[in-house]
Amino acid sequence: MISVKHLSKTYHNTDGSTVTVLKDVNCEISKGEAISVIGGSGTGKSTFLRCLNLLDTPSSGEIVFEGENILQKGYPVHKLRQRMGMVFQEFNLFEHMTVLENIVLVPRLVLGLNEEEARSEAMYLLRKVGLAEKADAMPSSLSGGQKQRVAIARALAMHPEVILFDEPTSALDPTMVGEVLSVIRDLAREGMTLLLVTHQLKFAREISDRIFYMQDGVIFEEGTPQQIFENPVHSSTKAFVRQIRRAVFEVGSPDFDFQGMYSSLAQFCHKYNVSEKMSCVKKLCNAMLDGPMATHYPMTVRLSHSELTEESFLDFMVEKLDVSPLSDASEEFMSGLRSLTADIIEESTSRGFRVRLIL
Amino acid sequence: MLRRLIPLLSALILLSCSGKQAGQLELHGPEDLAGLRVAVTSGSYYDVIMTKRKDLASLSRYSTDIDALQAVVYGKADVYVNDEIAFTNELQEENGITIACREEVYFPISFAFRKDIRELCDSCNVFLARCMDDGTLDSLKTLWFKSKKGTKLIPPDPVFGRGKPIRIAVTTSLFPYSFQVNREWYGIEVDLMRLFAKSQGISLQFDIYDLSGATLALSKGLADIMTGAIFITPERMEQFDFCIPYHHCQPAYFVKAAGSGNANSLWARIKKDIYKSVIMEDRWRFITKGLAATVTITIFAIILGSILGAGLLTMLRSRRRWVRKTAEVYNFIMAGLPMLVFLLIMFYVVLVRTGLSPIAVAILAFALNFASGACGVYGKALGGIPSGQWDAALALGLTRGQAFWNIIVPQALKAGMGAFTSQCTGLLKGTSIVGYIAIQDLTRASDMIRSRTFDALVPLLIVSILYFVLAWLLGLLLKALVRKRIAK
Repeated sequence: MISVKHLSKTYHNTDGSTVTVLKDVNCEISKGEAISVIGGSGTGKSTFLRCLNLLDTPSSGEIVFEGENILQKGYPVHKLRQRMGMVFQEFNLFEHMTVLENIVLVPRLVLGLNEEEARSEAMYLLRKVGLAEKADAMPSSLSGGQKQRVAIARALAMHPEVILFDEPTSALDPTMVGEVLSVIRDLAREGMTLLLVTHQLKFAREISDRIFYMQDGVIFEEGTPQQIFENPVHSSTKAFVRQIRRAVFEVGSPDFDFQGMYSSLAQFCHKYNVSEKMSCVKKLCNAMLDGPMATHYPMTVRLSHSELTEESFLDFMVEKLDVSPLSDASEEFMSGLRSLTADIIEESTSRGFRVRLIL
Repeated sequence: MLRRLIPLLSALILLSCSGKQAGQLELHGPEDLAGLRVAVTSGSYYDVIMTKRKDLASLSRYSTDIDALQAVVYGKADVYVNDEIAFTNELQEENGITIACREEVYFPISFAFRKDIRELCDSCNVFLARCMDDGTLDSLKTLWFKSKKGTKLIPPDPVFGRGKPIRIAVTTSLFPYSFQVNREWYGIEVDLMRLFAKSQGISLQFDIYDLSGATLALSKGLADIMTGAIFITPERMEQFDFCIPYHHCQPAYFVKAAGSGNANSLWARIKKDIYKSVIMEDRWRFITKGLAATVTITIFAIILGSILGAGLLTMLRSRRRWVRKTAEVYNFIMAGLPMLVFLLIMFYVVLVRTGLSPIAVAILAFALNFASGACGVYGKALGGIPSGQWDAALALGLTRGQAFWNIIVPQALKAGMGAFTSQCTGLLKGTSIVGYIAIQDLTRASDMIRSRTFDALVPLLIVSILYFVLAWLLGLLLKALVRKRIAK
């Protein structure tokens, strides 16, 4: 249905600098598929979506929709958009119109429906998203979740062949996420073709036929939810789906700003609700840096925490080293270390040697 | 509305009652003016003479005779120096002023002609000479200089003539020289001009200027003859051609009369003033005519200016740098130039050769100025619409035009309405300066009435109330228009 080849998008700032958001995006989307696009912030997910309906103009590449190249000169863009609905993070309801008017305006203008047809269709859609009661309300009187459901009804009123959801729940209070997701879930079940950019990984896994993991302006990995969430090929995909958070420090010499490092680590622990692990982290760092690591500068210290599994580990990595720094450590030191950790993994990597202390 | 007007009304009435009573000044000649506050009409020959004197306490220049006289009535000046015949005995009595002394000199007064119409001036000389010989001039002088104000106004015969009319710049709308009653011009100078025009077989057109405006109008070819008791002075002879004097004028010092002050009750006085300002001689016609001019200029300037403003905004957002820069420079000029100066430049310089009527010039000038303000209002209103509204409208499949008119404009209208209304009200109030280019608008109407009644309070009050009402109606009209647009 949609075929994307070598899509790229570069923004030109007014000061002459450029930012490349999409580098080389390739994908095929078939009719009836529900696809979730996941990835960290600033990886180009939203831009990818906005390029599909040409709200942003791609810098190069090709997008074919139902056999037609939509980037050719003179292509009627508004006709394309009538067949490709979009739901935005910020809802973007027309604030000067009632809920009902929001829904009937464009079908009347563009599809040529008469008032009666448009109205009954709109009421049907409002019932579907559970907001028939609010037909005559102004958008400003609705909650965020209600606004987003109206926005979905508005998009559906055009009978689109595809709907693009651009982070539909990111601007919502946590209490209102559920009501919007359930509407999207229903659409996916009915076989609507949809592309969903989201940070709700659990939901993406549940409703999607395929997942696109985006990183650095490309679709870094794609596959079924099972592949992506259980057997990802790339370590960064794994880190992302496991929701692993990291704090990394390049320690060059004994004169490193350890005070600064400890305060950053404390902030990190606080942010991910693991403050109780901080004293242990600090003790381990002290022991390692004063003990076996003292002769291995420069090195990298990394604290990782998975929000999914609630596991945390502290890594000490030294480049171009093939024996464990712990091999010379005394038994007394090792037993002290073991008492503070759940496990100690010493492994040689492609770049050097890593000691992982699992907390 | 009314509640808002009450404080204004009371303030004006209180101000008008504050004239103090004082003994009458004793003056015997020019030397006695030393140390006094003297009023003159700006640009008059007395202005020139008094400016040379260094021993006056102060010299105030007023743009019309009426203003200068009222300065004496209200105690803002001690003496007003003008022609002896400028104010009749009856007028002096009514306003509590008197002539303290007359100077023993006589100044010739006459009509000034544009330099390049020498033949017309020559034929006027022939005409005036004939009037002196056959007694026409004497009988006119008896009629106008010796009679009482407001009596014996016989409607003059209309003057029909062929070709372009002679355009007369009347510098002072004042009895007995030239003044308007019921839209018709009267006065000794008017009579003379009519007789002259008749003898030449041409028609006439009267426009009101102040003295400096008339000088400019003559030199720019916007008028042909300047009237209004013009003194023949050497400086002026360089600028204009003069015909032979029809009269010699004696300077007089007008001062406040002893024991003057109004014995009548305040209410009786106001009633009398209202009668004088509105009903007598059908003076309300000045107001209706002025109202029509003010409303015409305001409405058309708003319509034209709104359209030009949209064009200007398009230019400001153009992709071409020079187009943007042009619009920026235009806005910069409009922001820095006083409206009156701009209006005068348009009238006397830019559009002087186009033959456009003063009303058309005013509409154009105000529209050009309004465009700049409107452009700013549009820009702010449109800029305030979140870009998400565009996204949503386009994503639904509207074209850019459909999205603009159906989604963006209604919201921008709502957001920009307040600022736009105040721009419009500003324009309405701003039109009060069009009197400078010989348009009889609402403000000028009050001047015209004042020049006949010598009462400032009532006409100014009426006119200010009318401006309030106009501004209020304008606001209502705009609100109604916007409601219609949004509801659609």
